[in-house]
Amino acid sequence: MTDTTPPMLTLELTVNGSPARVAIELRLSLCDLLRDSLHLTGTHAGCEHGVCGACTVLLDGEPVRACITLAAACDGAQVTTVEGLSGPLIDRLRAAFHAEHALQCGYCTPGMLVSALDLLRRKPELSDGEIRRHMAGNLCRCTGYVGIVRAIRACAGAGAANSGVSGR
Amino acid sequence: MKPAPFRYQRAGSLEEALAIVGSAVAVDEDARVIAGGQSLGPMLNLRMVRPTLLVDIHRIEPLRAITRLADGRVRIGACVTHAALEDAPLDGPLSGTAGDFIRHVADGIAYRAIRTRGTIGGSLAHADPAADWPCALAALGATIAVVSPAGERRIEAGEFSLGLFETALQPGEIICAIELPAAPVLRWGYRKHCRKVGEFPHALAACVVRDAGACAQVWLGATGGAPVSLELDAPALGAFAALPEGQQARLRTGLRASIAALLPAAVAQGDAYARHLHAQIAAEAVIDACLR
Repeated sequence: MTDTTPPMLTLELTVNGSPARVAIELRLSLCDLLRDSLHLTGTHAGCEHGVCGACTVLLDGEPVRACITLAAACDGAQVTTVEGLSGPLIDRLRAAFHAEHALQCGYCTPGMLVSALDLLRRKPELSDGEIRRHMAGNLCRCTGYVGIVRAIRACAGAGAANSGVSGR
Repeated sequence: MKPAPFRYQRAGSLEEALAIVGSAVAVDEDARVIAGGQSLGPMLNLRMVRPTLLVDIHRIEPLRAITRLADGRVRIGACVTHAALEDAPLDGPLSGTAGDFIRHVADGIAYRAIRTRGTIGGSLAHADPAADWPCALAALGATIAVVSPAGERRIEAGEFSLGLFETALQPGEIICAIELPAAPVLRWGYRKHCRKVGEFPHALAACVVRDAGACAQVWLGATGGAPVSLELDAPALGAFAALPEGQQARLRTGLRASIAALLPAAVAQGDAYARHLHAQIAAEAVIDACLR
């Protein structure tokens, strides 16, 4: 009889500033680790093959697709999910998403916020066209993007770049 | 959990990775080398591939370095991410026009959250015909360095991709670096046609000019197989930038027609629109190289 026990690994990583130690199946994605093992359901699973952007999280400060990142590859890493974002820039971004009606059902919003935050940190000065190009990897099926672009634009420019954000 | 079960081993060094892959090859196990996993990840999730062992090389530090060699060549480690190339400093090893070309190509690959994980070596090894690096590096005249327990060997980038998901890599070999020639790049053009920003393109072309004079060669990607190289006989293009607008327009049209005539019959056979698109994008890449 063949051995049907799935290959396992004990993973140690830091999630939203807190240490986590989890036994995982080797084929587990970072997205499933966050949602199913750590119950951080703010990270949304959409297409689950890297196209829609709903599962975007920060891994060692860089945005990644949690659905096509192996949890096993994240041993020792710092992960920040939408629940763990804090600081003046994300506060402004959240307020702007609210003010500009940048969400309807909210499914894409966690990924939108993580991608927009990374974009604003890297490129604080952006035109609408650049915002649209750089946010093309995050799909929204409700808003038509106009509110999302307006919300990000509201946080772009002088001042936004200097906002310290924790979780980096 | 979407992929079929597999074992996973993270290699701490290239030697260790070669040993693990070598043992797997010896027992005919379906082992895959994984770096960022941005192409393999989706294929695992969709169960288009079901390897029984993944060998993770993404933390092997020497594979993540970009260095300028004493003879002027630039060596890019296989596990350098697209994002690291996009952000490569202008005054670092990727200075100059060749560096601008690399930064431009990297910036256009998929989305930032893919570029932070996806690697240049992974893209080459995966050999998706519509990927950027196989075509761009062929146009640049780069060399792919691959290692096996027997040592290192070098393969011209233009001869590395053999077809759909098919490369010159032999079982047990791992890409370790991409080397760019020392000769300066004078001008370049890079164009692709994507139905949506960040999606794989339907047409892709790169033109890199190292000698003064006409833009003589253009490489086409996204043709369904390995990148295709076309030799152009268009001496008038050398002075393109200085020509009056009317003549430029005529040359553009003529160039597209002559590229269309040179396109191998196998490229988008029977699809007039796709052939037109390949010729148009290639002509734009050549014109960009003339103007840049």
